[in-house]
Amino acid sequence: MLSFTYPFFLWGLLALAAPLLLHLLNRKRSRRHVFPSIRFLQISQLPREGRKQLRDWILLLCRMIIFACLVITLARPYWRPKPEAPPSSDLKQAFFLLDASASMQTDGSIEQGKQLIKGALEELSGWQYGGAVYAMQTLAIAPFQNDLEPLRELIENWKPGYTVSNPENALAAALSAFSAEAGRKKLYIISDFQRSDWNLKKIHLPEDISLELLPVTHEMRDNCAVFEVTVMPLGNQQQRILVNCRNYSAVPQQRLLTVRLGTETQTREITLPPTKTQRIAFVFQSLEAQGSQGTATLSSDSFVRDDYFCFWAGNPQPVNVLLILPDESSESSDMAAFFTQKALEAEQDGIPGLFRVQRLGVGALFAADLNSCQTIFLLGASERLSSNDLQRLKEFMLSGGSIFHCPGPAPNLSWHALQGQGFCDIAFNGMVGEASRHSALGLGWLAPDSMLQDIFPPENSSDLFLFNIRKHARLQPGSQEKVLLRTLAGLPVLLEREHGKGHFYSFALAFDLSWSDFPLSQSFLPLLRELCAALVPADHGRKKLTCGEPLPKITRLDGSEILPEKPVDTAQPGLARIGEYLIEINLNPAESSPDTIKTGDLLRLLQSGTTTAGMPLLPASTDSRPHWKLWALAMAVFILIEALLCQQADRKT
Amino acid sequence: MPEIPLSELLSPAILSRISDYHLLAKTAIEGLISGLHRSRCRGTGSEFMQYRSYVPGDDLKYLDWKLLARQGKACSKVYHEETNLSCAILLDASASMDYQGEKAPCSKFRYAAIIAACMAYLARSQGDQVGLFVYSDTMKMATPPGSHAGSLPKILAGLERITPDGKADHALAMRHTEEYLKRRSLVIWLSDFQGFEDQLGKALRRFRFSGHDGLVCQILDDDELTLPFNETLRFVDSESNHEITTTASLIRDVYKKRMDDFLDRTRRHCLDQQTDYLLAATADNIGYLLAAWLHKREGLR
Repeated sequence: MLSFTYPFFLWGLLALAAPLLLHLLNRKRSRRHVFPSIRFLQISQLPREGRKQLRDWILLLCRMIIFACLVITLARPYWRPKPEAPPSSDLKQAFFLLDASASMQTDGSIEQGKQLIKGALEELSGWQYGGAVYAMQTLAIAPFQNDLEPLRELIENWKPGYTVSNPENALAAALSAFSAEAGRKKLYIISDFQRSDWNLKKIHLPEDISLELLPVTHEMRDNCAVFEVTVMPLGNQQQRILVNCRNYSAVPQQRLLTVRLGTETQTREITLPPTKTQRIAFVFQSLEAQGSQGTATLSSDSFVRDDYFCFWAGNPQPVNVLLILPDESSESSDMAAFFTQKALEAEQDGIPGLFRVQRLGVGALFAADLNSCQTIFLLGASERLSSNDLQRLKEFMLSGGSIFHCPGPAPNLSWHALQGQGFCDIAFNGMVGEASRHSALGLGWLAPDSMLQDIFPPENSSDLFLFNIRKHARLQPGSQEKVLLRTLAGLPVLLEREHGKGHFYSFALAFDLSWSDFPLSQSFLPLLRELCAALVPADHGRKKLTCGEPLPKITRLDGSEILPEKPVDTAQPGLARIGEYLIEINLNPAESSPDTIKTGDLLRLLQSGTTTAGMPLLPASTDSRPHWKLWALAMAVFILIEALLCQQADRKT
Repeated sequence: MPEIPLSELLSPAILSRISDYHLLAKTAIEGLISGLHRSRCRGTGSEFMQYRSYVPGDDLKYLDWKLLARQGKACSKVYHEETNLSCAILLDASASMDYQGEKAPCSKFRYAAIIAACMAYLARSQGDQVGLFVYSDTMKMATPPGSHAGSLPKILAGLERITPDGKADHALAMRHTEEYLKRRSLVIWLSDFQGFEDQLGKALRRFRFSGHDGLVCQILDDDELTLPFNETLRFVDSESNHEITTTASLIRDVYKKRMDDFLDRTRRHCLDQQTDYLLAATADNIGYLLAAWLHKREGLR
């Protein structure tokens, strides 16, 4: 049976009538001509004219076929095997899909749905009944039975959850439940048909299934929701809680917003403007360094599940920074590690340092799980790394990590090794020292368009340019390296290169006092901290999940997975802790939206095989064969025939 | 202002734009006469007009011997020519004369009316009597030849009023005209003579036996002569309203042969009855046509 992927293109076939209509309207009836006398005229024979007309007709037909072929080609025809003759059995099956997404909790939705099912069942006497409750997955299923009791039990236990719904899986389950022998098949979907739930991609209903959409029309006119809470440490053990509330209704709504953190509770009366989001700020005393559980609750309305939001407050989870050092302890590498660790772990205004530094020898790197850290410092160790280690470091960088590199006792080998693994294209051209130049060395230039410009604004940058440099490597940057700092002589000191999601930074000097006074300067700490902080993802240490989402996999440095202390059910809002990671599980904000899809549109789309996302579905059957190439070939053949006919006509003319 | 050549001035394209027949005829005839350098009032009548110097070759009968004897000058006497001609113009105003081809400057009737106006003007300017008979299936206008001053304006005004229609009844027109012609006259017959070629000889013979002199001017459109159409047309006979659908390009040769035969027969009947015959296409220059006829008449005198 010939079917079309884009059947709406077939409307173009109506255009075929245009030349025919034009021909009929403008049919050349011989023109009337009054003549003095027709005595000497006689009726002429028209053999040549007739032949010409015949050729014109063939040409017209040829062009119409070309146009029809074009339209059909665009409609992407495919051959679908003719459905087998409908089974002669009297088996009739009706399947009910019950939406149990969070939005169905709205006052009276389930009751209304039950009434709709009851009405539908009255017309289904003598049928087999089946059903399924679905949200993100199919939650419960009642297989087809002549007895109505299992379905009734399913309907009785139909309760809305906290997750969004994914009707795609449920539809697939329903379609597979139907018997091939059934003479009549009916599929009922009882849902509020929220638009966000119905972005289908793969479902195409077979033609023998009759689809009935029973929409539940709930009232979410007065709905307001808490959809986000942000916690910001203020120092002095204080925390600012920012609660984002949204009014989905068309009129201003007054609510009581209660925020509870630990044992402290604050309540405020707020007025939310229509269809707008408002941010309300609270300040709390931080009780626990490791984090306090908090909730933000709006006074209830018709849809209560989005009026509640749980969150973690407390200092953020520190970022793991790994310092990779040579295996043999040396004064230079120890000094570099000391200064780096001090700079990154320093507390500020009572707020613990953002970074937690761990040292690792080159020899132990093979066993470390690099995904557990965010930043790696190679302090004079790069020339000691094996190619496998370098490869792992590169993969770490490509997946979003950052690597800072400082030269060691053999700088030439250091950059050579990095260059060989594609970390950078920096060429080492020897060392520059005070002895060779007989003059003081120092920084003289800062890239104006870099983030360093924000850290060291011109009025505050004097310290950056004051420390002495005793020696540094003379580097030649490649085309992809960006120079962030230069010496007074214009030689690069800090270079940056992007690798996928990650960054690679290379210093021309070691954090060693024999190289420079940089670790002792006031610029050292802000430079390192701000550079590292800018590379930390915004959600570091705190995972925000929506109900139904799986827990993320969190690993230690040694690669072992950190498991939660007690089982975490993400199907409901709540808080969890996995190691030091804080997990917030809340309702998906999409469930609060009153935007629904029109059932008429959905019905048409499901039955025509086009998804709600506007993407055409591929033919469901594997036997379906696309035929558009044949039609395109036919079009080409007729274009050739048309050209030959035209050429022949021109020659005769 | 640049001078307009006579050939252009007398072209039907220009003349047909002049609606006033008096002005039209005056323009045509006086332009024509001045072009021919012919004296209008010279002849051998009885009324003395003037003397002029004798030129060798002049008839000695007109030499004034007394003056020669008295003064020794040889002078010839010049008299007003005495004319006693009556001119009747028959103009076919049937529907077939209303045809105007796509390339023709005017309809056949308009062309014939211009010739009629010119003839009438010329006759009146020579002091002849002139009358006009316009007909189709009935007599549309009958102005017997007269020499009074109002006859010419009456004729010219009548020409302006008449619109061609109906079927030509040449026999009726001939009978009617004969009743008005009391004396020997010049009959100028302007028509396309469609379907009358076989009776034309008989009609002309009757005129001739009655002592009238005749001039037949057959007026046709170029479309009738050449059938220049290429497409398939539904031809409708202007007088009988009969229709025939045909492709002109395919029957052109046959048509032209038949048309030539028709013209040949018309001409032969005229010659048989010693009647002048002129064939005029509506695109032809009227001045040349009139000049050709006047020369012919002069030659016959």
